[in-house]
Amino acid sequence: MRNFWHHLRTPTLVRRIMFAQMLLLTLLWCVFLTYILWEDLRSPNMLSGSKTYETIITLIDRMDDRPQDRNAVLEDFSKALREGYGGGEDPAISISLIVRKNKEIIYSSDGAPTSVTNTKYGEIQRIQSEGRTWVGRTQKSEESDAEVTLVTPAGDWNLFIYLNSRGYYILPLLVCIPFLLFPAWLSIRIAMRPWNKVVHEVSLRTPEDLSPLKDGPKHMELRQMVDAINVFLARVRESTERERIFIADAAHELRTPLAAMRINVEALQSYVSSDSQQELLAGIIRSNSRAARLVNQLLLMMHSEAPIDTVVVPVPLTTLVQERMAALAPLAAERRIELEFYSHDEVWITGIRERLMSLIDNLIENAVKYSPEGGRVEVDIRALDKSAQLRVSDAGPGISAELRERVFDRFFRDPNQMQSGSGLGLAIVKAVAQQHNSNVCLNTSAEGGLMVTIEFPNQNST
Amino acid sequence: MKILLIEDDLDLGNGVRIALVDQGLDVIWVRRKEDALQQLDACAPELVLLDLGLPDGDGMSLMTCLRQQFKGIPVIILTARGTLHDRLCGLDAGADDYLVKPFVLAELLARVRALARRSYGFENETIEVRGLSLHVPTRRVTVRERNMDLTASEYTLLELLMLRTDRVLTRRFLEERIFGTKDNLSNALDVHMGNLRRKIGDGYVRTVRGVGYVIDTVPIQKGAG
Repeated sequence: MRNFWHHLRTPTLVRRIMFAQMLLLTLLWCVFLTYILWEDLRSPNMLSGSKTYETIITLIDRMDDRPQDRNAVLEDFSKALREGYGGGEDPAISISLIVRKNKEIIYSSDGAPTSVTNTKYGEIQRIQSEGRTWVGRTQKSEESDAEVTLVTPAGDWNLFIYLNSRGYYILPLLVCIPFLLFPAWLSIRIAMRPWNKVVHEVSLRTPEDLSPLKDGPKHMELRQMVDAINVFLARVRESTERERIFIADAAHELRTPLAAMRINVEALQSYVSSDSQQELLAGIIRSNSRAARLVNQLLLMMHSEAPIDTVVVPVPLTTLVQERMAALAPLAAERRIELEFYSHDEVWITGIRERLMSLIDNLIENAVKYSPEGGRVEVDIRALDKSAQLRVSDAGPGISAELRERVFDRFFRDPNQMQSGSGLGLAIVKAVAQQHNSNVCLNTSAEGGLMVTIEFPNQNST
Repeated sequence: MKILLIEDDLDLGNGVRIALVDQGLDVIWVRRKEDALQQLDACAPELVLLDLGLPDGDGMSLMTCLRQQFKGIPVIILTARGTLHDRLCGLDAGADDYLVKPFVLAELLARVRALARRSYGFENETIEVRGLSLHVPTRRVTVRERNMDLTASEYTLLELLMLRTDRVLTRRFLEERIFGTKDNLSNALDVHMGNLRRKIGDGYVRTVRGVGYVIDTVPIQKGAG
């Protein structure tokens, strides 16, 4: 209920447009109506027409010899007039008929303002009489000296009688408005569809996706908005790109001094005989390796985050994994870790070879790093109906369920972990997987360690 | 062996120079492209270590120049740019090897030795690993002084592994070299490997399951756990 009220009170454009439409419609209708009424009041139809006069004059002339009958017919005629006028029998608000012959009144409607006389024949005149304003017109017979005068009151209150008798002026509007509401609402909704499409497209955006909005609407107003959004997106894109290039350049620049430091220490090692000195040098080398690895990971991260500018091509995943495992085998051998790879036929996926390489390298390096010495790292590739599945499992400590979302964040490190690492490995994996429309899923492996599953959409189904 | 080191970074150049000299190599270190060209003429180095990012000109242009005028000299590129694209560019330009900074001294020395070996042939070259020795020119294989009688495929397999000790060679790579085909329809490789192992004895060739094979210079004890 509360939600409903809240919903009702939240302004919407549709409602605003409808309200404006209805308001304008009513306003126009009122202006139109006022004009008609005003025209009508100034020169009432009954007075301006000639047929009524002609009928009465003919009647008087023909029935001149039967005054009794004539007056009875005039009486009925007067009643008919008053009924048609809509004011009832009250002369103060209704029409009155006065018939004169030789300036003598021979008939007047009940309570008619008999003192009202026109100064000119055939013209509608406003006449002050009995403290009121009247509108009257007198027509003279061409054959006799009979004069017919029709008088209506001209006061402002007359408007109400008009509204009463001219109900058909206002009624259409009152009838129309409810019927107009639904079509108006529907048409506005339909007309707003392109707008909703744009809203939908924007709402589907992921934070990484800064590409311009596609298929811009043809409508001018929307195009302006979409263009503005696109210009903004381009600016954001540019600045992230600049930042990315800056980080990559900085990482590059760090490589040479790191190499120099390493080679100098290594050269020095052969001159040093004392164990403690050797240990200190080994410490420098270890730190150097860590820094070098961080720089490499940063570069990989920046490369894998780069917008895809190269063409995606079919990549033989099985061969690629096999090659990377062969390349990383010395790393595993150092820690006496056995690498095992299970696959059947070649599995092809579409992608960017180099980025896939860094994804595979990071997965396997991670698995090797966190495995206990002498442990086993299993990699397998399976071709499923609609996807290809790459799984890397280790026998390490694994990642607890509550940290599984956070380990993809840059520089996040499992606080329980003693191994040194850049904290970028899984972030790179995630970035590359996303570029290949793939999911990364973390589970517990059969040996209690971590199992990372990546599902690549099949080449055929994309 | 005379090595021309072209590296503009003072610390790195000096470090590499001292490290190589310690290994008994003769190193000429220059920091500019001009000096490099001059030294190439004057000293006739047997190997060039080239940094791609030189201050007075792109190292790549020097590389091209080297390939045009000094065809026989092997070149190892040292660079901070390590993407696949950069590597391919370097190798396309005619470099024999490519080392991405920061590199380990042992890696540099291994590459230098490998290149020296490659460019001066295998004359009198015998590769030996833990009693298993292979004499390339005569294709003679001995295990603890005992001659082995290997088939052509078995010998090729062993030679491939011995020339790249400590590096895992993928099944695909081996299959291509031995059978000249990319289809691994049969388990022919496993059969040859089985035969080879039976002849030379266990403990030399290590299997990396599903990946390939490797001959370790230092044997790896199987996992304690």
